[in-house]
Amino acid sequence: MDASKTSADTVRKDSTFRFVLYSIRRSPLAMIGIFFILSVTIIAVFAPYVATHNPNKTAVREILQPPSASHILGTDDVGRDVFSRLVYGSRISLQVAFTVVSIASVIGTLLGAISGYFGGAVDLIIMRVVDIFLSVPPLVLAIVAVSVLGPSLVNVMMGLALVWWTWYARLIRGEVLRLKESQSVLALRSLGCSDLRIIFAHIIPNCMGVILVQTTMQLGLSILYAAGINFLGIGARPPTPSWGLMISVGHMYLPYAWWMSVFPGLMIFVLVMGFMLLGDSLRDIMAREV
Amino acid sequence: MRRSAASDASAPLLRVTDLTVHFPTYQGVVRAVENVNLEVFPGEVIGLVGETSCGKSVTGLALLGLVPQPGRVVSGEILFRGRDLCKLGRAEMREVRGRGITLISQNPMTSLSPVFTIGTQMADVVRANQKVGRAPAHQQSLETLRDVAMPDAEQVLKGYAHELSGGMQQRVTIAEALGCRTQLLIADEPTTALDVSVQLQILKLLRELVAQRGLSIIVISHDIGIIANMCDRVYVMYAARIVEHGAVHEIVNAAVHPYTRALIGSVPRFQDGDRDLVYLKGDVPDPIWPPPGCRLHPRCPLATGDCSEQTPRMVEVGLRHDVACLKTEEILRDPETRIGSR
Amino acid sequence: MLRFVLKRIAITPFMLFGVISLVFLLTNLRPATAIYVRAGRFATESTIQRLTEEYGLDKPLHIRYVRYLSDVVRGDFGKSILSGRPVLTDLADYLPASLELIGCAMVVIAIVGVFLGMISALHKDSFVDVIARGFGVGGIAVPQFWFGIMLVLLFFWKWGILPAHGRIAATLGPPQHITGLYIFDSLVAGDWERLGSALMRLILPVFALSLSELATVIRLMRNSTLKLLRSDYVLLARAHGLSRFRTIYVYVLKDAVTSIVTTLGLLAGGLLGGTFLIETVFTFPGVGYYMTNSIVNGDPNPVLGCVIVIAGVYAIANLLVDVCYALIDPRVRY
Repeated sequence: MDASKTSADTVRKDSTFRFVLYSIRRSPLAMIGIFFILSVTIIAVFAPYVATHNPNKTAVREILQPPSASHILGTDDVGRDVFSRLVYGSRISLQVAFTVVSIASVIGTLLGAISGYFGGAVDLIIMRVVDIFLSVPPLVLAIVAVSVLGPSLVNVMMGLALVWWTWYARLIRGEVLRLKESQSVLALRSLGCSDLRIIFAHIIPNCMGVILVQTTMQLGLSILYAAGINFLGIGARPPTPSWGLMISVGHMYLPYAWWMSVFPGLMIFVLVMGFMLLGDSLRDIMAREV
Repeated sequence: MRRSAASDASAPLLRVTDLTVHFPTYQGVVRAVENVNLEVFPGEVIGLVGETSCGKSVTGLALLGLVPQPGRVVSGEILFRGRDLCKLGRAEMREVRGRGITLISQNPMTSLSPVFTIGTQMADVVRANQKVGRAPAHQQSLETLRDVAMPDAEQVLKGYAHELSGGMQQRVTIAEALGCRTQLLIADEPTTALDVSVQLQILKLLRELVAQRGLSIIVISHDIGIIANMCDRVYVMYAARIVEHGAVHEIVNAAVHPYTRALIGSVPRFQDGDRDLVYLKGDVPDPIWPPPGCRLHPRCPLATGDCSEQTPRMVEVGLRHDVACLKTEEILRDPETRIGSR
Repeated sequence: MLRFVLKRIAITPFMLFGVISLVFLLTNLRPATAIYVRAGRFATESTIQRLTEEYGLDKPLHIRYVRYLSDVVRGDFGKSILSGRPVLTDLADYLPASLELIGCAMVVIAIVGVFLGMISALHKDSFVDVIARGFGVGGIAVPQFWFGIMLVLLFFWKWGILPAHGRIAATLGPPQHITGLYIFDSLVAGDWERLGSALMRLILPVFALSLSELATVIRLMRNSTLKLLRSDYVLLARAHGLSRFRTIYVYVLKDAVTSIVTTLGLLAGGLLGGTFLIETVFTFPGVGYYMTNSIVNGDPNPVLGCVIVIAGVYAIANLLVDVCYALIDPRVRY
């Protein structure tokens, strides 16, 4: 273990990164996953151009219309165009996914690093808190969190972040503990590397592979869970065009307006499937790379 | 000579004629075993020696009908006690496995199931090969364990594979193989994964079993030292083919084939004094696109033009000593012919 | 091993305490709007006041906290504002329903998942395998509640072959109450009509609930089996004369199942969460339904009671899984 590990690290990071990209391109399932994700992202970004109607415009005379030429996927119970709402709903889903995972990873990493680094009472307390959070099944925890925070999309995101952060906390804490006394860290310290830098420049890149896979999966799961919470009626409020909420309303109008329930679900499936396929492929690639 | 006097006259237990095994893969057909001929007599210990991936393990598996997918026996005859194993159906082959021929493998840790007790596994093997109840099977297992000098046999039967050391695990697999009441044991690298001291014990054990039970063994190994130690006769394999075959002392002291000589010469021996090690330049040939003619010719210092055109046939050079090399006469004329680089 | 089990059992009350405290604090930060629902549209000030006092909501938070904890320890989970009954009584009705649902789902997943996974591996790349693999990946991405709705749409509305609401036909009513588990109760009473009705109504919800966990188990079993089929002991077992059947369906099966036992704990968690969604779709009167209702209406006591019960069940499930794992895998020793 020599002190010039930093430059060697950078080189390794580069080639690993390129290898991952290369492998992704070679894997058909990963490419399909990326295709799904990108398609939905493009729809979300260009929503105003893709949507055919104003998603919030109600039209009493056009309620519960089946799919037709003017409304490709039909209308809902207050006459809004389902297709347009789906399109804008993609924005919501993607926002939820990335916000949740960002918050969870930041909080989790921070708490995990603090816990592992300082040890002692701090570590004990944080780990007990993690245990408490883990003693309840994940979806239930999210539901409880959202119920406590109040019904809104933002609170759904907060609630879900509370579910995922524990994974990051445990992972980072483990890595910190493992590397705290390792040769490379001691060497870096003797060079005057600040602890913060050690964490960001060395510990995190070390578990990049695992984090990447898990994050991708969590993006997908967040969308699923968020849709579920919105479906229960305890999350996003109308008139938000959330897919889960659309299904919940559609549920009331079964079996007549089946289009209100079927299409949002398909969208959820496509987007989540995209993340799952990508995450799966990444997992295989990481396994091979090791 | 260690061969029992009776075996000269008796029919061979096993006679393999022209065995060829191929593995069709995406990149092409892997010729794992080509036109292999060998014989085993009752009570004999045969060696099958060669480098890694020369086809010796696959040969062993072919005898059992357990060549892994996508491999197939393409042609050849495997006569075991007069029956051609290649022509047998699944149920019949199952009868042969165990009671007729069985296998022990190189990694003892993974040779036993980790989730069942040793006793259960051994009893299962006994009952698969004999029609006995559980109590007699257990009793037999106990006895075979004692035969292989396993201390504390009762406890071992109740325990699990991971609780034993490598050497003891190998003893268990041998005992399990004995529980089959087998006639031909194929030992594929039986000591490779073991410590040197344990290796000697296991080899000694196997020799005793041959003497006591008239068991025949085919020892498959890349280690010529073990082969020299254990075997009566040796078959040398290179690139899916048998290149030389003979009694062990002939092979060790008077090998003819360039490859065999390089193999023998590559082992440092105390009594050789200050001799340089012998080795052949180059690498083992690609199994999908092997060189034409003699497989060794790209690396062989004696190779000439015909070596790349003609496939050498096995030619007798002594009592039960055959060689497949076009340069046989040359080598016999001048036994000091230098083989390989120094 | 006994020590291990005891240690786990000893820790559980502390965990629950932590969970309860946290959730109590947070739930009671919001106003209990259920009061208004219960009081009705024509409520007077005095009614509201009376209800507020009855449920102790006029007292400051810390007093309510202490009160609550001391009640819980004695087994009193308070009363539901909406139903007016003790939460425990309500739970006695709702909990067995969820347990039945989850129990059936676990059975289905264990049997179908394990065997489908194995068969998929044994016949690699065949039609069955391709379907199973597709299911293995897609099954996780399908939103459970949406799948439930699709099932209702097809099997109930379109084809009318399976019922989709409630636990038992309204005309029959529940079987004689022993445990609250309809299957068990009707079996014991020899009540075949009710047994049939209860089972019919479980088919769709169980299918919808088990979907994503089933996909996971199939994938895990397939991977595990594929890996094990290549192991040395499988080859050797065949070489020693064991039949293909025994080698695979006894040796490989046990090894494969052992390797996935630990994921069963997560499975239980997923199922517990899933009941919320499925019970809502199928109007199945279980804990999820009860708790969701209470959340929407701002009724704090049932929410807390449900959380305690769910956390408790989850803890028990995880403990059982760990114990099972230690029992099955001889390499594990506590």
